[in-house]
Amino acid sequence: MPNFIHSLDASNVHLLLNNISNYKLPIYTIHDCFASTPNTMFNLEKLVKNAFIEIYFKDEGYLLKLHKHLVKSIVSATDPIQIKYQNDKENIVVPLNAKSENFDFNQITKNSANTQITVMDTETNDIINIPDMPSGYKDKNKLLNSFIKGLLNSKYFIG
Amino acid sequence: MQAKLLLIHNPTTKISNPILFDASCSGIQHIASLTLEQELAKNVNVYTESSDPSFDYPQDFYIYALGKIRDSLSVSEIETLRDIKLNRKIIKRSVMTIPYNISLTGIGEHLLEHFEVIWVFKERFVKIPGSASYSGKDLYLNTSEFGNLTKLIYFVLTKELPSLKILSEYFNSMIDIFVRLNLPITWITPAGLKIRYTNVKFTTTKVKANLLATGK
Repeated sequence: MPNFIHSLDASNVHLLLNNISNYKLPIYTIHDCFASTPNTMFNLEKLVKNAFIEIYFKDEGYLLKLHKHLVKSIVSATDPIQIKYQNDKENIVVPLNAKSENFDFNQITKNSANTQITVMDTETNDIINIPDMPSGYKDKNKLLNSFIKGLLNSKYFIG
Repeated sequence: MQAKLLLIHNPTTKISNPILFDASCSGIQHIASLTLEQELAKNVNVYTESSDPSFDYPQDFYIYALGKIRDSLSVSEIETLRDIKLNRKIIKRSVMTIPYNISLTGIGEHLLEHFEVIWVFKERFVKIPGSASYSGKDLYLNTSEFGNLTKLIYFVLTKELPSLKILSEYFNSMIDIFVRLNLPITWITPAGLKIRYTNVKFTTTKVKANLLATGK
């Protein structure tokens, strides 16, 4: 997780610098600190916020994008063998020790809300559920627009 | 100050000193935004519900975390710990580094930057000055008590903040599967950079060797 959070700090700077060229404002950054000259601070604050919005609150939210990517990595490296419905959820068992065959993992990632993916170690019969998104995330996902509004209104996001 | 002095002498002085904007606890801002936790987001100024933000006051996450630590200290089974009155400055570094996997040892080291270590004969004590105790008296924590103080802070910061806890559990479960599959963990940052991260399990082998020759 520390590397992941560092990569998000870096993304904020990366996206900011991508967007800043049109504004011709001088800037230097250190981790989560952004410096410029007094006459450009208003624009700088707006641009830092926009970069943050681009990271977290665009489309379906970054955590869901990340989750789909991680599930895809697991499924594409294994061979899902069993698909059945359990508790109204599609249950996919991925044996850890089998070789991969063709499997349409898009069907999982398209509708991950109704899919429970289970990883099974066929040597020890250990079963591990691929973790679902942190609880309530999908409901909170509806709040993305209010987060954008709330962030743009925040006076002390950086300061 | 320098700019102000320059302005007094010449109001048309061009000031080119940079101004620095610092995020308010960026690690927690990332956690709150990832998990879309409104309460946490409010505490780190990512989010405001106010219709007129000009009346908003800055939120201070360190004070919020300090409150939680103080609550936990006040019900500690150890009498000496109940008398400790930590302040924002003492816990700031530990709080700041929560999202970057602060360890128990790390918290102990951060605390020792503020307190003095005293040796009485061969026993080690950490002196908590009267300014950091409710009774106003200096407190002397032995190794076990200081260990318990460190653990209490660690527990509050890593287990009692709901978003951090659920996010850590999510990542730990995912990493467990990747390690079992012997797969590198990859992710694409929001800026489009692909990161590949491999966990390698090390085994420990202990050996004994004499560095100084003892024979003739």
